[in-house]
Amino acid sequence: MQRYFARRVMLAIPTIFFVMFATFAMVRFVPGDVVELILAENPYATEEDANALRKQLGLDQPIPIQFARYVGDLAQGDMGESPWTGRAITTELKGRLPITLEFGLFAVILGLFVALPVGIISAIRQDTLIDYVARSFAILSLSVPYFFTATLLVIFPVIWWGWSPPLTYAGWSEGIWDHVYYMFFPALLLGVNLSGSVMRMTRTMVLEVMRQDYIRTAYAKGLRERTVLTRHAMKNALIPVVTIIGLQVGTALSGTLIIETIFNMPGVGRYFIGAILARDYPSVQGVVLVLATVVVFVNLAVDLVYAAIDPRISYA
Amino acid sequence: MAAQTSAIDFAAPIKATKSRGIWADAFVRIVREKPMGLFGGLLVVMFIVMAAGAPLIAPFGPNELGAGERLIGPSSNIFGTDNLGRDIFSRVVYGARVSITISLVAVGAATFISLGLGIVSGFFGGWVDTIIQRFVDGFIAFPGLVLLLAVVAVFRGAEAPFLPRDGLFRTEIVLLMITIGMLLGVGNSRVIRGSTLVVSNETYVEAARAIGASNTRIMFSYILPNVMAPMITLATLGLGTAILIEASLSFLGLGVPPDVATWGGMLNREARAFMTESPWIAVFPGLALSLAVFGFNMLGDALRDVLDPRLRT
Repeated sequence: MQRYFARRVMLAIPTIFFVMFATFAMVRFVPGDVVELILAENPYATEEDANALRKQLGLDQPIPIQFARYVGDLAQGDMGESPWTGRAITTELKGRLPITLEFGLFAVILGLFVALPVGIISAIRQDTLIDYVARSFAILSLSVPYFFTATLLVIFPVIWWGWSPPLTYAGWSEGIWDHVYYMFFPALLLGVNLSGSVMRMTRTMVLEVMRQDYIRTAYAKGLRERTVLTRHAMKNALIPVVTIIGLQVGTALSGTLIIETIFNMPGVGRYFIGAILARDYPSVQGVVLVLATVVVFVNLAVDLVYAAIDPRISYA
Repeated sequence: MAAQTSAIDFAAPIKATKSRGIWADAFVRIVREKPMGLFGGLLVVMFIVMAAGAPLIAPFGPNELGAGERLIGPSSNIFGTDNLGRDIFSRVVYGARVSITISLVAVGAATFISLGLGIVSGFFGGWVDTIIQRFVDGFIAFPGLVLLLAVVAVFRGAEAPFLPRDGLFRTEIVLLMITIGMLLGVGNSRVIRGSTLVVSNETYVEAARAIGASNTRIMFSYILPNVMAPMITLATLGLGTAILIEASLSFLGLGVPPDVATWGGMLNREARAFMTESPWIAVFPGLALSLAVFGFNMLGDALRDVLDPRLRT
């Protein structure tokens, strides 16, 4: 087990290195001259500005030196600065990443609160009305895009009741209640969207486990249904569900990118979209690197948890 | 997914009815046994008809101004008009054309990638398999939308000389299609690899090898036809996903350029200012989008049940 852990951690290192190389290459792949593209947004830029920017981005050096510098700077937590605002990207992200991560986590948790009970009930009451309703809901949540439900949530309550979910960010400093009230609606929208696949997976796994011999044995020795479910079925049924939850972190992050723009949340997503629109390549580079790293580490954590909780699999 | 490599013979229920071919059989079973799948299929047909016959169905052009007063509700213009006086019904109909075209090309590319990577990886095994699978692992770990947005950021405004400057096949849109295709294709290649592993152990592959068939011949004539069932299912589900991805990007203003009417674009920022007074400008494109994705999902689910019981999740 320890060897598996060590090997899995070692595998994450080349992935991170690959991500670093990819983000580095990205800016240099831009068709045409990246400096000219950036300055095209500013009609008053001169040749001197261009040279200054080139120097600032380190583009006046040979490629291997550029990459060595890039990695060296990253090791010191320096991602360069935005050519527009002049602010360090590390500082920008430091303030925004916690908001995005909190939002994503909140959404995943809300999603699980919906998905697990509904998935389990749907399985043990297979082919009843409640099962059909739950399955239709799961398919719907996978089909209706959250930016559409979010749009509906922002427009219809105003028309009907003159109420709308809060659209100005309230941080922790403005009181726990205000913060949670602000976070709740976007997180619920994303959570419901995420719940669909977890619900389907939970249902399938519970159905499969319920057909096993040891469940029949448990029933046969006279245990109550509740005991059979909690002590015998769930333990095994929920193991693969952990994987799905892990895979969802990527989906959740993609979701935050979109929902942040609708609810004006000052997270990484909105910063990212803004940076793309402004052709702020150093910022785009920083965001991609940070988000990819988060996903790699979460996947690593999920794999390790999976190895730890599933006694049937031996990782020699 | 862990069951992919199990030895369950997915052709079994199909062999049971010998009189019909596998596709005809799948069709009949969906019509008889899968009402939701049938409903999904009908929605899909409806959107394809809409896309193909857009100029005949839509009373106005997608960008035609003065199709009515500005921002009038559903009335003589059945879905109402938007803030520029464009007919929303016509824009929704032409939007189907954009969504269907983009998703078809993207899924075409995805199919090519899935089959290529999946069959080669599963058939040869060994170090070829290891290398391809590590690449696939890395690719899947990356959040899809972030990757897409990075590509958009890099290539925004690029123009390839061999592509038209406007219309649906201009550089930006083609890049979008290919990137969506890669995203779907690499992920799906795992399923094809799993199926290939199963098929490679069949006696007919052994027989082909015994009579001296080359690897290429075995892959094309024996494995490819036998992994088509899961491929069709994945492609159908992929069409829904591709539509959703394109709409998400267009919603952010980073997908299809604004001069093309798309469902995602119609829900975009500029329209949002008018939505509380005129909710129809958001409701109809959103409904079209949801129904299309729903249709492909339901059809794909039904196809999976009918064609390949091993894939059920």
